[in-house]
Amino acid sequence: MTSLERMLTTLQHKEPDRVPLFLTLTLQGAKTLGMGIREYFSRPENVVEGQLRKRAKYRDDIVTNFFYGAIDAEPFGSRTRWFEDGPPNAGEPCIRRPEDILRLEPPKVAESASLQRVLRATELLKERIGDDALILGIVISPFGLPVMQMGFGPYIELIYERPELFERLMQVNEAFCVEYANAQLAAGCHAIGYFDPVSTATIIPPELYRTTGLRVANRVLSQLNGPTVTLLASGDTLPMVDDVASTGTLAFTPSPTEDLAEVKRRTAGKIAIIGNLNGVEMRTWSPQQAAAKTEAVIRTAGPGGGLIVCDAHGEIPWQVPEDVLEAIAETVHEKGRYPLGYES
Amino acid sequence: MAPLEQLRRDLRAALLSLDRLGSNRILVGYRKDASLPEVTDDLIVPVLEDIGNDWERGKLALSEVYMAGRLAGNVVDAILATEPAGLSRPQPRLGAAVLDDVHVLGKQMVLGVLRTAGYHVDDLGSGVTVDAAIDAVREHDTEVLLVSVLMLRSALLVPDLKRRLAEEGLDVRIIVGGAPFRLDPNLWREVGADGCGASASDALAIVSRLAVRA
Repeated sequence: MTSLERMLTTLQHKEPDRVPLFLTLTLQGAKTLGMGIREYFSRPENVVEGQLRKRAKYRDDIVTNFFYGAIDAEPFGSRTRWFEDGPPNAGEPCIRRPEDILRLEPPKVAESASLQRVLRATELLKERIGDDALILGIVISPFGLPVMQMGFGPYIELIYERPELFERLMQVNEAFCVEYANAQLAAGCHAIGYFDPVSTATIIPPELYRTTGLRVANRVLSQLNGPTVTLLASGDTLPMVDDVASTGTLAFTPSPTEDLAEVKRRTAGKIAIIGNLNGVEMRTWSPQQAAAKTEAVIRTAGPGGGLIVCDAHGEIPWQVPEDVLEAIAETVHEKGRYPLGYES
Repeated sequence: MAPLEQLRRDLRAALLSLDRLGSNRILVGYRKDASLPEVTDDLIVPVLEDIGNDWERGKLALSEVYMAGRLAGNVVDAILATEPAGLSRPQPRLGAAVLDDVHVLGKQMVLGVLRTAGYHVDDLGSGVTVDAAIDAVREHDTEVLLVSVLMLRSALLVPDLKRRLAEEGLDVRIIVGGAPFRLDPNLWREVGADGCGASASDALAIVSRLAVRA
């Protein structure tokens, strides 16, 4: 089986030849190529080379055109802050007062140099990978983007107190998100990772999610020209996982602190699991611990398919040692072969 | 007057339903027969701690905790505006900063809860480098530094901060909080912090204990 076939099989809740693996190494490409993080992301060729070397080293099943989350806020005027040893962050909010939303228009993807780099990286990945592995594009959801656009506190206040401006902001962000996601699909992505970090029970009550983030997701996903998986950034998902599944997304990321057996019981046959290794703790694991935790994930959620072994957050920290990543990959390749020998 | 437990339940319900008038009515009503510190200690602090604990248990969402804390702060501010003596407590000198990170929500919530409970906290800013934190601690004579982070890399700056404070002869206790410390419960000890709060109300409980010793 190719990696793409393996992915498609497990997303259909069937058992492929082995459990697919996705190591969400993005920044680490800079280390691999011996350059700084900012320099690495300045050229699409670097990102492509970083992803190809990642796949060659760890034999995982997904490559991504993902640069960094703050890139989605750049077309709105956000200035990215760079660090030597961690992911770039969005800088000061570009929406300073709620009323600024009235003048906000969706930026054009074609007019953003940053997003054009992502699209070029996608084309190059497609040239090099073809259909051997799944090429995953990423968008920040319209419901999550305002955390970078206006700051988390003011955004929560907007959701609760200014519904008309909230709806207006969602309209703008949805138009941008749909255009950007479809551009990535057109450039060669097989699927889009819909990064929706506000839409977890840790951040927002399920009943409020159903009238806000869920509606946004339904509107956006119905306009995309390809499948999606939903990435939820380590928040608790069980109280709203049925809602997430109802959007038609193929897979999601449960929190690393959630009971994976319960997650599997609730989602088997409905929505696949991406996860749920703890990326923050991973930094301190020994290779033996990494192997044991990876095997536990496979044993708990692997039977019957519907599992992609991955960290729970969607971006493995810069500080995680290589021997830990190697142990995770080795374990998936050794212990993740179907039939697993565990009961479904 | 209703029993205290009933008042606490009513105040919690009013805050979580964003009922400003109801929250105000409960607090002003209690104030008629109680001192301002009693209003804080009997009602506000336990209710905010209860709300924060329910977030840690997964029973409430962050947005609810944020909005309830904000409303509590607004109601208390309105009451304080009518109290010439204000509300002050014996306390260590407190400062709060977001370390080399511009995700300010955690610090805002900590500041809000502590100020609502009557503590004075110096806001040392966000995106604060270790050098800037040293300068701010010296300027404000900070005794307890509340460090909020969202990014793992910021959490990993705490050992450097602690070392530099010691080199400068600044005797400061460091209390940390934020997502990396929630996801890795051993991280706060690893970075050498003196305490860790899983939520803003945890910070309140920690500061309350420190205040007793102050």
